[in-house]
Amino acid sequence: MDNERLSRRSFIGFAGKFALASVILSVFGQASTEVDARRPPGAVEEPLFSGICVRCGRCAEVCPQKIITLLPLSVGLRNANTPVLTSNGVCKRELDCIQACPSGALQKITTAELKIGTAIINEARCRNCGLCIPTCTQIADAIKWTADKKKVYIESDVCVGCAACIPECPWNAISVSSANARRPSFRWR
Amino acid sequence: MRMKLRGNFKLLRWTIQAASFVFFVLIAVAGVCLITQGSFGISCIFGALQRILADPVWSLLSMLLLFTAVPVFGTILLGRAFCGWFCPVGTILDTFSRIPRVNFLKPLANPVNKFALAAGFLTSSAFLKYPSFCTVCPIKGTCNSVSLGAALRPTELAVLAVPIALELGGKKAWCRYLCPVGATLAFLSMRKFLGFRIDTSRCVRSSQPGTWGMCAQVCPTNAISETSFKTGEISGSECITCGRCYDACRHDALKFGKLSGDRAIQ
Repeated sequence: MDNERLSRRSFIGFAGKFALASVILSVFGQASTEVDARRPPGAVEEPLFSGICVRCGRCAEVCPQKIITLLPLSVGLRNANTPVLTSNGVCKRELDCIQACPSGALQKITTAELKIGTAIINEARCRNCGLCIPTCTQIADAIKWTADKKKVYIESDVCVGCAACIPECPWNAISVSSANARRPSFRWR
Repeated sequence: MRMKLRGNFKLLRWTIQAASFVFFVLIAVAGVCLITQGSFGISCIFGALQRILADPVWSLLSMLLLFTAVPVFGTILLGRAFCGWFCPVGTILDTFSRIPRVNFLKPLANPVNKFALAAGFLTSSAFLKYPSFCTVCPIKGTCNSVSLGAALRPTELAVLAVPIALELGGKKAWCRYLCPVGATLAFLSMRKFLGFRIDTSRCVRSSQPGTWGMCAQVCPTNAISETSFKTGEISGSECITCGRCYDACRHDALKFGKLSGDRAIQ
């Protein structure tokens, strides 16, 4: 009888702690800011990415350009320690990060399939000099002259978001965002 | 006559702890969380559970469940051997074994807390759609604390502060009262097949209550209780199979072997 009462008491204690822990952790873990920085190549689509990534940081270590950083805890637990590219970091598309990823959060893709974001031209700053064009011609051929050769424009479907054009621009007119990145769905190997 | 070699578990355990620390922290890509080789992998059970609950598409289920096969069956067979022999946080805490303790753990000192915390993290993972414990896991933090370039990562190491602070309150306090990974393994090892038990015919304390009891004193997880001396059973969920009790017993009363299946769940 005593034993039974004791076990019932400890079960109620367990249930109470369980409920308390669930509520506190759910509330505490919810605070998170949206990540708008570019994810590394092959990153799976967004709600899933934070679930699959084991946050080991190997992609950041093996990146030849060292442009992958891990998000700080201040962005919230959901995306803390998950990898993003630095804001104007140039991805040379060597895909070492994909090779290093143990979890499948970065899916195996080819260089041709890579699209980590889209570059846009700030029209107010652009002087239409065309200095960015030769670099892009070798990579994606997304930056082009208009037919009358007076304006430079970016074909956003073709742009891979590698940011190679940004250091070429003397006017600071190009920026790159994660918009329209090609994010594969998860497959195990 | 059988040779009695006392203290050999200690040497073996430290060797394996050191080797697995080097492997998980310095060699393995994602440490305890996930080790992959080709299309085969070994995944942390608690991490897999959280991810399965968090993933709305269930696309991870088949892969991750397959990957937990080794740790699940290993734990059903050997109990929480991972906690005592392989866990890098456990190894770090073991190096603190001789520090003076401060008594501040009273409200936390209940083995049930770790189950409640683990269940809470699972619920919040399902609700938040990401593995909520993995982000703050001290085991992961230790495994990832050293980068390939041998540089220390202070942010990863910061989560280790919690287990180390708790260690000041008592031996393996983190592992006993809070660790959700340990709780998962404890749940699986409640009816483990192999482990230590007390041979009550040899144990001096079994016949003379109040004498000796060295095994219970050296046990870091308080798995040997007063009833253990009567029944010979050591708590399956609390015992981390570290072998300290075996090393401490002067009467060869601790036996490692098959445990009877009809034990009461403690």
